[in-house]
Order: sequence, then structure tokens, then C-alpha cells
Amino acid sequence: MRLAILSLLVLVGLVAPVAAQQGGYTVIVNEANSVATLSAEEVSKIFFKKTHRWTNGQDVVPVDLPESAPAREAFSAAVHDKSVGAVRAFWQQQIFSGRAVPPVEKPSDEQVVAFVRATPGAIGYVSAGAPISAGVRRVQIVR
Amino acid sequence: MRNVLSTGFVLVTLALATPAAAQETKLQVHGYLTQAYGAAHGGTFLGIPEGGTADYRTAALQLRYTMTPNDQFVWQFSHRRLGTSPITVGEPELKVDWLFYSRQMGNLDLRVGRLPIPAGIYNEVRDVGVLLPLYRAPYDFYLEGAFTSETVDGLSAGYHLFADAPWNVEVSLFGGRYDMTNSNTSYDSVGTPIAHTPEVVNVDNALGTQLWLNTPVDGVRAGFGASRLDVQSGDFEGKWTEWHGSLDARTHWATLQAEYRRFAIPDVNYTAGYVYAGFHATPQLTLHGQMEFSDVVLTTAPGAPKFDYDRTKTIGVSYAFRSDLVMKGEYHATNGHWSDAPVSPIGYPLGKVSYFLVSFSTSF
Repeated sequence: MRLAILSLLVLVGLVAPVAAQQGGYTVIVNEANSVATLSAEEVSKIFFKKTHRWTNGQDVVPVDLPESAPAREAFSAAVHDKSVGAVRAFWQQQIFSGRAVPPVEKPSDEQVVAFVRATPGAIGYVSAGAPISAGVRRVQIVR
Repeated sequence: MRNVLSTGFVLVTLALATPAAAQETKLQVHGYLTQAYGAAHGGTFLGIPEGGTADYRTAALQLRYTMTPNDQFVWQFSHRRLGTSPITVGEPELKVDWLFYSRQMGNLDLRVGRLPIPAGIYNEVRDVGVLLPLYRAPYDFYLEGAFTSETVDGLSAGYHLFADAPWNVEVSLFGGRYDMTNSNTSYDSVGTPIAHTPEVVNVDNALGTQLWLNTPVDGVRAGFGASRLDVQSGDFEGKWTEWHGSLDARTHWATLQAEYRRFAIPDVNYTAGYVYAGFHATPQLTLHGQMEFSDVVLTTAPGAPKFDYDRTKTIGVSYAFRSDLVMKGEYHATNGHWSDAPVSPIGYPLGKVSYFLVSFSTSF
């Protein structure tokens, strides 16, 4: 019995954070983009600028929330499997080896939505439950 | 004047050193600064005297103009102080570090201008304190100021092979020319070595490659690189060839790195390597240990004698308040021929100089 409780606690401990993180953000694209689902790995490559184009040939334009945003923390953990600090360290490496710069940052969910709406190749994420207005679509993230 | 310029540069860098926030403007500004205090025991090593020095820093400002998402122009100028080292005598307070145009075409990245040389784990970022475990990249392997260059005036091409596969390869090729500072030993009238003398030489026909094999394990990769160059003047004039191998494993808890390289230059073979281990006790606190070596073989001397050129052991600790604000303390015990004083060329007793460095690094 004790073993079963212990196992349950371990299981809850392992599963709960993941569930909370996945619930912390919503990925969105411009409504002209036909993509409906993406894997976490695909999204990670997009935000690390390792994928440059959508399948239709259009340039991918990722947009981030600020590092202090809870949704960014959840997104980094769930999609990149890294902390926000580790992601920042990755971009420092890219910047100071002259290779690339991080995605554009927008200070709020509303501004991320506005940017994605105005940019055909854009992909962003917002806090779970943030209003998604016309001109953008949710993308389901599959594992 | 030098101090005014240095102080001004440091203050500007610090003033701009706010947490990085990606900008949407076409012109982006980034920079880094590492300021250190060091003191040595038993002699002087890389400009660190027994009396100590705070005239020890690296800094750079990088301007990046994005013309289109695939076309960028990058300009970086840098500043370096190495205490009392003769290597930096005559070096400008600010120098153009990089000046290149970059074009991205899918997985192909082309650059032309003055650009960083991809070589090993750290060559491209060897002055960026927030990215280095210790103050500098391992000296025996990467050297600093002498017998090495961080940049080439020419072009480079980078390509990511099998980019979507778990095992994938990043290939870089570069070619061009550069100036390199070598170091010679000066002797007095009775043949006693008295100083190291820098010697700027022209390097032509530099060609090289760097390959990284990324594994399915995130953070684990293996590298190989090679280069050849023509040194046009000075005591080491002639054709040089070089190759190196790298292992780089970074996990949440530990970082393990090892690199080995071999230079074949006229009359001399130089081999060097190091093993580094970092234990990340917390996300902020890392404990460091490193062992370096270098050997020299005088290939044209009778019997081609081999010399232990250097053996250095290092321990250190760093604390990252954020990933862009890091403090470090480190202790190095050297036993070899690299010390500024005593001047100990091959055939003379090894210099046993120990030194410590305390530094803080920031970037934006």
C-alpha cells in the first residue's frame, strides 16, 4: 500500500508539471497559414530559427513573449524542454558567434496576436485563455 | 587617453547592458563585457603580475543591420586589455573585430568580409565571458594573441546537413587571409632569455573547415576541424597545417568537454589538449575543473626531441545571477614555457607560475 501511494505521488509529481505547462500557453499562426497541427519539436526548431520556411515556401517569422511572461516559461519548458535562461544562453551563443538573433519579442498577448495577424508567416504563442481575435488561428501541438 | 577611452567604452557597455530583448528594428545592438582582477605567484602569466592587475578585460559592441530576413550586415568592434602582457602593446583601444555581410539561403549560410573563424568549441566566442566556463578558453588549445587568429578576411560557408534528422552535421568552410601576432624570445648579449617579443606576420591562403556531428542526445556533439595557411614572414615563415577534434557534452547537471589539436609548422610540431568538467550544483552555481597540456617536438633537430611545453591545472567556481550576468573565481597552476616571466624557452627550466582571476561578465 505504501509502495502504491509512493508510486502515485511520484507519478503525480512527474505528470502534473507537464500538464500545467502545456496548459499555460496557446500557439497561434496567421489565419492565412493552413497548418493545423505541429509537433513540439517542429515548433522548437521554428523558435530556434532552425526551420526557415513553411511548406508553402513562405518565410517563418516567430514572435516571443518577454522572458518574464509565465506563458514563455511554460512554452520554453514544454516545447524546448529548457528553462528560459537556457534558451537565452542559446541565443547568446548565436549572437556572439555572429550567426543569428532571437525572435522578435512583443510585450503582451495582445501585441503578439496583433503581430501574428499582420504578418502572414508569423507564429507566436499567448497565455492560455488569452482572447484570440479574428485573423489568427490556434495550432494544436502534438507530441 | 588610453584609460579615458577604456573607461568610456566600459561605461557605455555597462549602460547598455540590460537583459537582452529581441528588437524588431532593422538595426540591433548587442555587446559583452568581462572585467577581471588577477594576481600571480612565481612570475607573470599572460600579463598577470605578482602585484596584481585590474587592467584585464574584454568587451565588444556588435551592430547588426537586417536588410531582409535573409540578408544581414554585422559589424563588431572590440576592446581588450591583458595587464602587462607584451602581446597587447600597440594594439588599438578599439579594433574592428568583424565586418561581414551574411546571406542565409535555407540551410546554407554565406558570409564575406572579416568574419569569425569556426574552430573548436570556443574560437568564435572566445572573448564572451558569459559563454565561457572560465575567464578564457583553454590557453594551450586556443592560445591568445600569439600563434592564432580569431578572424579571417575572406569568406565562409556553413551548411546544415540532414537538419531534420536526429544525427545531423553542421559543416563550415572558410578561406582568406589575416594578420597574426607571433611571439619570439629575445636574448641578451650572453644568451640569456630576457623577454618575449611580439611579431606581426602576414598569413595568406588560409583554408579551413569545421564539422560538428550533433547526436540525438540534446547537448552532445563531436567535432573535427582542419586548416592550412601560409605564413609569409618572421621566424615561423612557411606552410602550417593544423587539425583538431572536439567532444562537447552539456546536460542540466554537468558539462564535459575535451579537445585535442596538432599543429605542424616549420621545424616544430605543437600538440595541445584539455579536459574540462563543470558540475552545475544549482542552476546558478557551477564548480569547474580543467587540465591542459601542450607538447613541442623539434622536428628538424637531431633525434626530433619532444618537450613537455606546458601542464596547467585549474579549479574555479562561477555564479550566474542570470545567464547574462556571471561572476567567476578561478585558480590556475601552470608548469611550462608560456609564462611572461620567468622567460623560459625550450631548454630552460619550466616556469611554475600560479595565478588567480576574479571576474564578472555581462552581455546584452
